[in-house]
Amino acid sequence: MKKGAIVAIVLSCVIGAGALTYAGVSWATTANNMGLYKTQLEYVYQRNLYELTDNINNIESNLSKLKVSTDKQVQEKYLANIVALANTAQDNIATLPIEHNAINDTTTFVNQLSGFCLVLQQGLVDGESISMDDMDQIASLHESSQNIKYELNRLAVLVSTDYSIVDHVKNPNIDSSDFNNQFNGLNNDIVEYPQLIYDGPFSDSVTNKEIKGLSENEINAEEALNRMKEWFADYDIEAAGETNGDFATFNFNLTKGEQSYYAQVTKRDGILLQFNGGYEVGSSQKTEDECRTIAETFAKNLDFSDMKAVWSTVSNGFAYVNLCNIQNDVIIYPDMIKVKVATDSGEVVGWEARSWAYNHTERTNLSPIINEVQARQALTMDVDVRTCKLALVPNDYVGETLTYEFMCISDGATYYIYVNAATGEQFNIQKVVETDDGNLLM
Amino acid sequence: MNTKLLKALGLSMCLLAIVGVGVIGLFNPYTYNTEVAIETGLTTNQIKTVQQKLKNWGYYSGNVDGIYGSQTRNAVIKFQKNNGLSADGIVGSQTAAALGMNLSSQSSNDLYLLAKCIHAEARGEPYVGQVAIGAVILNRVASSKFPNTIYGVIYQPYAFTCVNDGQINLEPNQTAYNAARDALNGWDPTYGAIYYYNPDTATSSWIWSRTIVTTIGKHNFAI
Repeated sequence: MKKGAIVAIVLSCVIGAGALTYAGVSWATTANNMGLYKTQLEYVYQRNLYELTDNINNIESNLSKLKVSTDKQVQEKYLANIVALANTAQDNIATLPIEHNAINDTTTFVNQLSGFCLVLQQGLVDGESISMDDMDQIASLHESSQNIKYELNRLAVLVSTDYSIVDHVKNPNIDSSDFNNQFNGLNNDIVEYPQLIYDGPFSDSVTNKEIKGLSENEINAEEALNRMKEWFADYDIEAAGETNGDFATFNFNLTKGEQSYYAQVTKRDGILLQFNGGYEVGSSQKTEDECRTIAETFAKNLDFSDMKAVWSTVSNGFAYVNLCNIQNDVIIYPDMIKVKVATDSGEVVGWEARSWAYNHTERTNLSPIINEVQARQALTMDVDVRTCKLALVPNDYVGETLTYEFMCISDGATYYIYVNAATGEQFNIQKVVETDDGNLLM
Repeated sequence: MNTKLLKALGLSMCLLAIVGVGVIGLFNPYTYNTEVAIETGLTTNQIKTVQQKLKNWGYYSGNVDGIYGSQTRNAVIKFQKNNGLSADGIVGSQTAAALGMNLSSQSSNDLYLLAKCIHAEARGEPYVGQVAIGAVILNRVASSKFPNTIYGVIYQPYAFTCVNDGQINLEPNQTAYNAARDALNGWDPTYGAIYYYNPDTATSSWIWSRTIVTTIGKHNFAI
């Protein structure tokens, strides 16, 4: 045999063996890493399940104590505990690998429990007491929490034996041992969840809000199209179906040159509820002030005559202008319309009037009980007050409050401080935060 | 032994090894494309501003695309050297100040995440369809049935296919940003929808039981 051939064979064997070793090591490392990641993920899931179980156990015990307590301070303590526990429980649920439809009843229960207890706690702080009706609701909440507790403790025991959550998340709905299916016991038809009635976060009364700004008079599709043609004279307009959500609307597609838009006109009263499009903005030609005037004029042409710009910010070539009604020198914040103006052409490219449609009515009582000097006493000494206006503001969930709005500077930051015009108490504080994408109120 | 046979044997072993490595490489989930953008801590818009400024001053000749690749990095290093800054290729507060940029202390993480989710879920949809996806996410935040933060809603297990398949990590374009901003500003063409699905591809039988509110582009929006 030739020498060259032997060298070739040896060389190819060495290269081959080397390559195979590399491949093998690489595969083993990968497999090893996968095992490590899997174990760590399993622990994250388990920790969340155990924490959830603990939180529900504690919620159940706090609810049971609340049922028998009569002292306001003690009640307040239990309510605060439940709010905190329910919020953490919600976080735990959201991190577990369960499909939404398997867990949404329990999520609702936990969210509404926290919202309901928060409202009761606020009531106690404001000097009210827990009513008999509320006590009945607490009792039914307690009953549900007992059932949830039972189910979760069963699961915690299962996982603490030899059940791996990670191994059971692969085929949702197929296998009965699947992690998703372990939550069947928490479904609405097995555990009873109470219908909670309260005005607060996550309550159904907030989601099913009444539309005050629109009458019952409905227009038809043809009338809606005619109005659109009047408002948007130099656009091509075509009907684009209907929306039947919280608002019922006729929808339209609009085009003007290269740009396309989408608009919705309410069936009730036929107002422009929404208008928006993917406008490609060029370099700025208009100032923020000019854009505010453009927005006000646009509103006037749509028969919203008393709308004034109360806030604006420019971001990525668009001016975002908030318009409000001014009635008897009071800014009516709940009746807000948001307008988007392109700073290159000065065209209005967005309109959003949902708040106006929900809230607009003729307010009758807009007289403050205390005067501005009295209201100023609610401010700290070291703020520099720049403006003071009367403003009607929405309170947290339902209803409205008349306030004095003080625009103040403190340590270089701008604040809007709202003082209740009846009681002189601080009502709300907003801070202007500068971000990369324009100014925000927080 | 036959020389030809031996040669063939050696060759085939070589071939086997190469194929073996190839196959392992193919199935190795940790093999990523190495041509990725460099981590900067800047938003796409900020990177675009950096690129535009460097371009105006002749440091950079590439595209103003918001991608911080090696070309942009080299331009930053050149700029830093010329301006007596430490040439690390990173736009920190000093380099930003020298560029005449204002890196404010608060970035809009929510806006960014929302834009990413909109881009991944609906980049082929009409603009209003993209705003609608953003609105659904925000309606979920407000709903008792879902987690209570934008992060919680988007990263809820099984909630969005784009999170499951990793498309959420694609860099959003300007349209997605605009749509996210509009949604955060209260634009909601669905008026309260908390679900959406593409009727051509939806597989969950449960989703069909929801009441449809409206249809925009390929998506049905439901409550």
